[in-house]
Amino acid sequence: MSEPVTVDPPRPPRASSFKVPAAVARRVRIADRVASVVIRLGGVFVIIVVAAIFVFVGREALPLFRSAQVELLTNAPLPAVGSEMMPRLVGIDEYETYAYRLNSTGTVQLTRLDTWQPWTNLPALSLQKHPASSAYRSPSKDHLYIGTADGYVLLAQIKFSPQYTANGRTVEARFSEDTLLKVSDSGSRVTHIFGRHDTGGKAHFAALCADGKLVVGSYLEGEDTKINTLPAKFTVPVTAFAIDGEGRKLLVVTDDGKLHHWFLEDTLEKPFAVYDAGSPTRKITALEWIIGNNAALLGFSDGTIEEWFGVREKEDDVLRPYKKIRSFEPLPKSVTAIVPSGRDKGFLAASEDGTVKLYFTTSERTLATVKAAERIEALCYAPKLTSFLAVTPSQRAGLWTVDNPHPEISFKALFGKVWYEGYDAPEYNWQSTGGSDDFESKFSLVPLTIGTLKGAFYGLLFAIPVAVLAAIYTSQFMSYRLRALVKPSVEIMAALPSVVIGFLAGLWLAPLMERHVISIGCMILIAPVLILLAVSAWHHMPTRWRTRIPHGMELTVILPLLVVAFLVAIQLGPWLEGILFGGDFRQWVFNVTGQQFEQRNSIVIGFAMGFAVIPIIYTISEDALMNVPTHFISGSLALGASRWQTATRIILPTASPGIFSAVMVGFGRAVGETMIVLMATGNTPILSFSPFNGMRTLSANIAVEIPEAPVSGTLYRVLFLAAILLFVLTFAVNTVAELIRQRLREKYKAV
Amino acid sequence: MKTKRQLLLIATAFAVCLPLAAQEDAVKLDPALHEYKAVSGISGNLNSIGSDTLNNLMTFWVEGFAKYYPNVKIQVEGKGSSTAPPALIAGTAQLGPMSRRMKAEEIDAFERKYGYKPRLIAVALDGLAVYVHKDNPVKSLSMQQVDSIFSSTKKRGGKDMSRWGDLGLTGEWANKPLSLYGRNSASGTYGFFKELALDKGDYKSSVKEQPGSASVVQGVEGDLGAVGYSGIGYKTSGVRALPVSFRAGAIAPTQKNTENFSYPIARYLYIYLNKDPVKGADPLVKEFIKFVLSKQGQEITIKDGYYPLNEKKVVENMALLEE
Repeated sequence: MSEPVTVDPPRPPRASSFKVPAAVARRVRIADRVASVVIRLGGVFVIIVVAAIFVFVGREALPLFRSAQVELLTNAPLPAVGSEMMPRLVGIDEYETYAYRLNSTGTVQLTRLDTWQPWTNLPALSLQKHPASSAYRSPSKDHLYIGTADGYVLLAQIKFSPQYTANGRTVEARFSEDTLLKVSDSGSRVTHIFGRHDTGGKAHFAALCADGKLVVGSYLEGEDTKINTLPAKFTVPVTAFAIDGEGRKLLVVTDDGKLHHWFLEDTLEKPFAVYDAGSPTRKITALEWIIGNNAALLGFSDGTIEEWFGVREKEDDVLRPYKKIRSFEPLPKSVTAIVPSGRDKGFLAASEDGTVKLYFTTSERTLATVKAAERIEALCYAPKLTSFLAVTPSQRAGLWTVDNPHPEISFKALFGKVWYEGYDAPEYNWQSTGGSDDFESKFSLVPLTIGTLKGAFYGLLFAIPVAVLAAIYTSQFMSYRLRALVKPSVEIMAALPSVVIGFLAGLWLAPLMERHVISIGCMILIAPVLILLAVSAWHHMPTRWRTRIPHGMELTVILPLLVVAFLVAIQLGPWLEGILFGGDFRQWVFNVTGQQFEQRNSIVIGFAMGFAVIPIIYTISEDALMNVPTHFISGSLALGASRWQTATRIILPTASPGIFSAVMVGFGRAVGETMIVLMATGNTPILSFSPFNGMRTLSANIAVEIPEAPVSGTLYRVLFLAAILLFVLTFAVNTVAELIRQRLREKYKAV
Repeated sequence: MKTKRQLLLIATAFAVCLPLAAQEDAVKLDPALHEYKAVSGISGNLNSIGSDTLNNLMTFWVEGFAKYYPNVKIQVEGKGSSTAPPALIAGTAQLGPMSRRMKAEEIDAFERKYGYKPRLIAVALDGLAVYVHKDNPVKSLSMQQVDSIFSSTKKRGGKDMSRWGDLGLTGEWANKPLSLYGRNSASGTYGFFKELALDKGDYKSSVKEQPGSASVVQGVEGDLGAVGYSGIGYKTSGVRALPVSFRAGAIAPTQKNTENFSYPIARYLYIYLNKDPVKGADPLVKEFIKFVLSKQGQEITIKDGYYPLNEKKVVENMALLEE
């Protein structure tokens, strides 16, 4: 600060009264300046610190919205053995040391990805007798499903095993044949094949023969092999099909753009449903499952890509008919290949003109776009999602590295309604972690934000009336002796750790409330009514009696009344519950509203949170009320207003800016409160404002989930984002509150 | 769907007739298991971070282990299986007890740091139990019913269930709401139950997520209309573990049914290790696992309420440790 700070010069003392010595005046001026600079510096420092926290938290959260980084590593001809390479099959092993391909006469060819040199050839013995005619690789574990020209299906796996030595890691490869099964009695050529393994290692496959027959089968060593030919005759040629990992669902696409859907366990006779997914002019050119084998991806001849999955629209849709859920940013030309990721809900899609795009389903994002020189025939997404390989018909291959840490996040995934897999409608949902790889993380912050506001709302609903009325009473009516006792006691409440309040609320209050909810409700009604009755009765009492109790000590009469109200409510509760609610209020709530009466509900939170917030609101409001200049009060009383009139018409409006900021500070505290909600609610991330169920707040959510969040993972960053949201929420509320307070202050300054 | 309903009827009929006394059979230890013999030169500190389901059992094992090696200090922390992989990766723990297998994503993260995969050792057997209040008259549940109770996705094709009447209870129970208790998402039990019982579906958001297995059981104990899931080791006298079945017959989570995996939600409990393929496992870690897989260790397993591994499984896992 270069400019000297200008401070209002101390007003010259009135000449008549007394003269301040010049030295003292100078000292005061200097002290004034120093203080002013220090205070300003302090203020600036606070702002810098808050901004720094904001920047730090923001930096943790910002990478969520970055696109994937994709870089071309190699673009060169891929070595080949013979000319008959299976066109659609290319794979990368888990350790990303080799690319492998298969030729029709039974050689698996491995190419080193670092040197791009042919490494070794593995013999596939069965294929030397039965030449391959089609092949498919499952997106994980290098399972191969190979159809032969003479009507067999070979199930095989390339097993890669790492060997560790002191010099590092080498990866060994082995071609392991599981079984060779005859699928066509007439020895018809298998033109197309698709397969999946389930978690127990059972293979399920579907194979299309040249005679138009579609065969489905399953194989597990030590179990009966099942091979069934579908009786259906396709009048239009089949272009693609997909079977799931349990052998339950089969999707078949025909050349006229129809999608046929079988439930294989139900019946093989006819499809469960046929959908008009495309049309004869808009053909379906590619079909794949997203990980989980539930949602299907359809690629069309016009470059569009759609996601379909089963939805229960009516209560009796037990087998869910498929439905178009969403479409993705289209490719420029016809879709030639779709390859799902084996780890998450992402996938790659390639187009006729060589464009490859990386998508993610939940967030509906297009994460990267690259372009090869020509049409892409085979595509492989490395198992660990760190690279992908695209092969063109001229046997050139491009290898791209992928850095894609947070594909599942988009603005819509965080704040919008998302149609999650297996759900019957789009929803706001928070379910961050599952136990398997095909779990679709649900990162909607909406239920958490609503939960935060709900908790604060019920807390304030209880705290504001109690705290503000108490502040008015203590400041205006209570005797000084009593006040000197009451105010510090309430302030001590603020020192109570919130974990203790939460603990008591969760383990003591919640079960108590569940048993006596009606009694407690009665108490809230009876106590004020009784007190009002007592007060008006007091007015009609002879003055002789009234003077017995000194001014400001009326409380001593009211306290016994509260005890009476308590006793009456305890007695009345069960009786009322019997008459009005059939003896069980919880059941009644459930029957009438369909909402469950949870033990750990918002009423409990209201009390507990109110308890934490009351001291803050009370103290600040009380101070504001006490600071109303005494000449206002004296003036009002002198003009004949009663104490009550003075309190409500003079003091309350004058102190309203202070009371308002008290409420807002209380609100800020309630929004940020963690331990009480963490311990006293079920932490259910539900989207409901009902007082009878719980909530999960942003802050409690951070506390619950941060231990399990891998550092720098998506969940970790989303939790930081939740922290920012919390910050923005309180910042917005406080700013608005400050503006309103300023205006109120302006308005009542004139009084 | 008619057949399914008939099967269900048969299942219920079975359940009614089946004497449930078999449930009380004492858990037997495979006599072929080897005694643990202490070796010399073992000392140091270990940290175990992970599963809450295994928390008590780990503590008991550590106590038993300390009898042989008084100089060894092992700290056990159990907040949920999902806390094990980050701890193993960061090196803050050498033992990572988990009640589910690691996800490929977690293994990837470990491999990125160390260049090899974490080693998986099965240490006990658990019949993940579906608990109800001890006064609840329900006899058994089919997996479809379990799915309909807990999931919002109902992947097993059932109808939504929100009151006990939907499960065939009558009288005052018919209209009583189902009150659901489950684990928080850091838990392996949460993930395992989701995968097997809900067929990879999603939980209803009204499931009260408890921070530990014990609090699930406690919640069920104190709530008449409650139903919750938790490891069999946390069973108390206030709750009942329901027989559960896929199709016909009610299968209780007994030792026999769990061992042959006819109980549909049986599982192994694991400890993950950081075992360098060149240098081998840390000798202290190795001795601890040897102890766990010994006769003494598996006796402790029984004492904590879980089921012991048989000889064959122990040999299999010892080989994984040694190789």
